[in-house]
Order: sequence, then structure tokens, then C-alpha cells
Amino acid sequence: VRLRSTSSAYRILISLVGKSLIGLGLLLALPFTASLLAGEWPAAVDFLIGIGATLAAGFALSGAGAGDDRPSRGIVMISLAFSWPTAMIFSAIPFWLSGHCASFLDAAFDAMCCLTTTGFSFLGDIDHVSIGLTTWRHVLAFAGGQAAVVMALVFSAEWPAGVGEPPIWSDMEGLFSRSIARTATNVLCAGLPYFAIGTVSLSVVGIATGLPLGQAVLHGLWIFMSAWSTTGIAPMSQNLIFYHSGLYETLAIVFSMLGAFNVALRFASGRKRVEIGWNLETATLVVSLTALALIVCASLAEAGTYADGLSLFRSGFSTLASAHASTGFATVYPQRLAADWGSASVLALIFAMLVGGSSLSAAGGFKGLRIGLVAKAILGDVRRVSSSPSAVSEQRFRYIGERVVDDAVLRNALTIIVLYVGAFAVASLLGTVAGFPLGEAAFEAASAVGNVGLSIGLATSAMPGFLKITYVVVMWLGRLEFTAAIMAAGFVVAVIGGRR
Amino acid sequence: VTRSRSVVAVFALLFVVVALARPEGTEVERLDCRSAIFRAGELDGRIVEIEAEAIGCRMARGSYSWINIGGFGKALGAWAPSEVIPEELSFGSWSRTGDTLLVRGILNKACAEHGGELDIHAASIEIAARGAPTPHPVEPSRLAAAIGLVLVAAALLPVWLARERAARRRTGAGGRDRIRSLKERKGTGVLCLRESSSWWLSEALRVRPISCDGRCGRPGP
Repeated sequence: VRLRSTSSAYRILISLVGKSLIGLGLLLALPFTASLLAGEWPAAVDFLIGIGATLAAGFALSGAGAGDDRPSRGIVMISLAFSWPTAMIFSAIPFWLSGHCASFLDAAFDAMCCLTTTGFSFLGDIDHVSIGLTTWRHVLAFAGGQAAVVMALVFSAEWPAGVGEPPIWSDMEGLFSRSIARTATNVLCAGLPYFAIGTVSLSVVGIATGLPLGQAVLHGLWIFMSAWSTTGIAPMSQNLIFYHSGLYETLAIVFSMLGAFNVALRFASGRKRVEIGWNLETATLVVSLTALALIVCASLAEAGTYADGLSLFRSGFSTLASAHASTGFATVYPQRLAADWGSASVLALIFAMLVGGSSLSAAGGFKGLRIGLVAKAILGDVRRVSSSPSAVSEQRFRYIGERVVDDAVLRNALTIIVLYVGAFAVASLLGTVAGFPLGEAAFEAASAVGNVGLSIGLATSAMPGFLKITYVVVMWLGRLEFTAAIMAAGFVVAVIGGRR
Repeated sequence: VTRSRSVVAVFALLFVVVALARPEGTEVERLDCRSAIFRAGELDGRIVEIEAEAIGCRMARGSYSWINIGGFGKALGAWAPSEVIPEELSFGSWSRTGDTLLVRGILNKACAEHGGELDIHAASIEIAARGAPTPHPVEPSRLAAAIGLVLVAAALLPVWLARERAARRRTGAGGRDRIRSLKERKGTGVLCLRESSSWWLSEALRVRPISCDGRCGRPGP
């Protein structure tokens, strides 16, 4: 996509960023309503400030940029890259006004964590946060997760380069559209049955755990939104530990794994397309999760951290599954993770967080598909070396139809993996510069770049400002899978350089 | 399973009672939740006393209940027989601070009875201080700012709508022109993909966006 920093490009960019702010302003009506219903008047006033400021900025920008030109794909991608930080600033307003954040940077950090579905939190005293602000955190996370799915579908960034549209694209009718609005509606509609089942089942289990009806329903709704968007935030500071229920934890993690599953594949399988078992990405994720689970369980059993199988499952496997789904629900206190889990378990968690879930999902990380492609290419090379020099072989893989592993596909996968690893290395390095041990800095960096939010105890409000900004940047890069961010950087360079 | 759990619970309670009936002068360390979590390795299986605020709600499970207690940004669960939990207990939330509790019991770093949770099996729970409603007055300056910003947004709305309409009119991308254009093509089953942003219109008119028929006159992407 050629970048043209012409005045028309600026206009379109400003207009699209403005429109995303208008959407955000309308979204703020939900927590505002929740505050009104809960009788939290000061919180409602804070949301009104947020609504007013966001809509005013949105109308001004969109109006200023309104023009005749139709946006190109490149400009839409660049505007998306700019929309995330802009939305972060405006959605941070209610966080900041609530008085639960030590600084505006902390508020912006929290907002970015929700928007990128990462799930770290610097909110102080979460247990006394208003219903309105809790709703806002979860709505923001839900919207961020769905936006990521829509973005991936619309731009097909996840499709391996060079193979064009998948052979069964026509079967995706009802999900995919070149119109962003239509795709967003389709994605939301496709998720509605899960939304209903998830909220009801979590509410019922919540009642069984002893929560009063009203709280059970609210918590069920919040936890589902958090799980489905793979954010891993929760209304209480203890996260899932608050419920003291293995069933509640299991349900939340199952829904988060469904949220981290390829939306197109889920949609296709709903139409009796049986490909899940043979799909390269699904197979890769199953192998990865199984192997890492064995490592974690063996390591924890060796260390004697947990006395029995049930404890190992609830605390060990749940944490790993949540990390692999890039959700980050906590069933173990971060400090205990650092103290009681051995190095092998922590390394397995770091790997799981970097890999993440499926492409075309709300999950972060460099995705199972890319790992599967690289593994397949390596195996293919080994086979080629060991076979006759004259033999010509073509490697194929299944990913919503059959495809060929060619150089373009592989280069695309490797580029993204290298960029992720680079961001992880830089964030880890800066963590050590801030004075944290390498292992813990690497854990937190993997969690940030993979949009996971599982913490080992470093990501607190007391963290140095430069590290907070680093995490905000890598969370943003990870969410955009670098492509849109690189295009945005190119646009900025072109603007500064005055190129036309 | 229920019977074996009850047996385990009775033994755990007996252990707590015996452990608490130690000679006078033996000190029980008083902690807050943060210290209890940070020092769980060192304090595992020992009797501690935690002073913290009751948060969330009481979660009854048969003859036992979970009470979550928190403070200094950390919280943990106290598992106790329902009869040792004070009846009139208020829990912290946005609108009030909960009762401050003195929870005495055994701290478990990874409780085998509760799926490896870090918890405290409480033998006694006392109210150290009563909670109180937290005042949250509406600040007049914030209310004024909210009204002002909403008015600014309301004033900008018609300007934005007018500019959007004007832009669409110029490109023929919206309003009546667009509807007329779509109606003309109704039934042909062909609609330019570049126009598919008006999907709701194409749905309403049952025109499927299949491919560009070249009649739209729009530049390519």
C-alpha cells in the first residue's frame, strides 16, 4: 500500500479517527447508564464529562476531515493505528476522574490495557471501584477484543500473504464483508449465543458459589466480557480467586479459550465444515498447550508446590491455559507465582504468552498459525535434505481450505514472529534497566507484548514511568500485529520529511 | 465426596482449635493481607491474625462460608464455619467501607482442601471496627464541566452532520441519490463492492454485492 501524505490523506485520517471517537463516546453511554441505575451520581458525572469530551473531539475531528475522497485500505489501517492511542486518552478520563489512579499516565495505562485486551491494572483499591467504572473497564475490553477480530477480518492481515482469499470464502458469507460496519455487526451477532450462554452459566454458578442474585448476574456479565475478549480483568482485586470455585474458574477459562479461537473457523464449523482437527493452527495450539502443560505439571510436581492433582489443575493448568489463550485470568497470586513456581514453569508461561491463541480471534501473541507454519517449513527442509536432490516436494497445510507453504507465506509469518520477539527483547531489557530481575522482567514483557496481562508482580503503579510507557507501546504494537503501526510510523516519517 | 470433605473439614477445625489452645504468652503474628500473601511461604501452616476489611459478600457453602478480606491492594479468602462469622457484617464496596475484621486461623500457602488456593482457615472472626458509608458528593465544578462539554458536543453535532451530508452529496455516496441509484439496480443482483459500505441499504433492497459492474464510476481502491 503506497502512503500518500497529501492533504486528502490527512483529512481522511482525521475524519476516521474522529469517527472512532464518536463510537467511543457512544460506548461511554453504557457505564453512564450503569452508574445512573446504581445511583452512583458522582461516577455518572465523571462519565458525562467523558462523553462530552469524547463526542466533542469526535465531531470536531470528523467534521474537519469530512471530504469527497473515499479512504484507501492503507489510510484506514493507519487511522486504526492512530485510533488506539487516541481512544486510550479519551477512555482514560473516567479512570482518572474516579480517583483510583495515581496519575493520568496510570489511567491511560489502564485504558490501554483494556483496549488492547491485555488486562494489567494500576487501579488502586479495585474492591471499592464503582459499578459504573467496573462496567466501563469490561465494556472497553469487550469492544477492544471485538475490534481486533473485526480489524483482522476486514484487512485479512491474518491470511498468509500470497494465497489470496480462502477457497471456502463463500462459506464465510454472513461473517466477512469488506464493510467494517457490516463485519462488526456479523462478528457481534455470531458471538451473541455465546454471550447469552456465558453470562447465564456464569451467573448460575455465581449464585451456587454464594453470590447474591444481583451480584451474580453482574459478575457473570463482566467475567464473560473479559473472557470472550481474552482480557482477563475481573471486578475484584483477587481476580478469579475471589469466587473460590473451581467450576467458576473453569467456565471463565473455557470461554476465554473460545474467545481465543479462530472466529472464521468457529463460524465455518458451525456450518458443518469439519476442519478443526486437521487445521494447522488448531493442531499447533493443541500440541503447544499439551507440551507446555506437561512441563508445568512436572515442574510444579517436582517442586511440591501443590499437594494433589486437583490443586495442580486449578492453579497450574488453569494459569497456563489462561496464559496460552492470552487472557491472563489469575488463579494464583502474582507474588506466589514468582516465589513458588520453578524456572521451568515460568519459562513455559512466557512461551505460552508469546505464542498466544488463534489468528482471527481476540487473542494476542504471534499466533499458533505462524508457529505451525515455521515448524512445518523446518520439517520440510529436514525432509528435503534427507531425500534425493532431484525430488521436488510441495508442502501443503490446512487452514480453512488447503494451502501451499511458499516463501511469501513463510516470510510473512517469520517477519511477524521476529518483530514480536524484538519487542519482547526490548521490553525485557528496559525492565532490567528499571532494576528488575531478568526472569521477572521477561515474564512481564511477554505478558505485555502478547496482550495477556498475567503478572508476576512487577506491573504495579510503583513501576517507573518509562517502563509504563514502554508497556503501553508494546501492548499497542502487539495488538496491531505491527503492520498497521509500521504503516503509521511510515506516514509520520513522510509527514515530517515533507514528502509528497 | 461430601462425607470425606466433612471429615476433612472437622479435622481441620479440630486442628485449628487445638493449635489455638496454646499456652498463654505464645504470640500470634498480626498481619495485613499484603504481608500474608508475600510471606505465605514462611507462614505456611502457622496461626496468624489478619486485620483487614470485609469486601464483596459472604459466600455460604453449606455449614461454612467464605469471607474475602482485603487491604493495601491485596485480598484473600477466609474459610470459616458459619457460626464463627458475625451475623451483622457489612462489606466494603464503592458506597461504603466494610467492617474491619480480626481473622485468626491457619494460613495455607496452597490449601489442599481448596484447590491450591492461598487462604486462611479461620477459627475466630471478630469485628475490630465497624464500617461506614463513604461520602461521594457531586462536585459542582465537575457537574458544570460535564454540562459544558455536553453542550459543546451538542453544538458540534449539527455542524458535523451538515459536513458529512455535504460530502456525501458531492460524491453521490449518500442520501436520496444513493437510494435512487440502488433502486435502479434492484433485482439486477449486481452492486459494486466499493459501495458495500451501505450494506444495510443493499440488504433492505435485496441487492447482493457481488462484483463491480462498472456502472458506479467510482475509482478503484
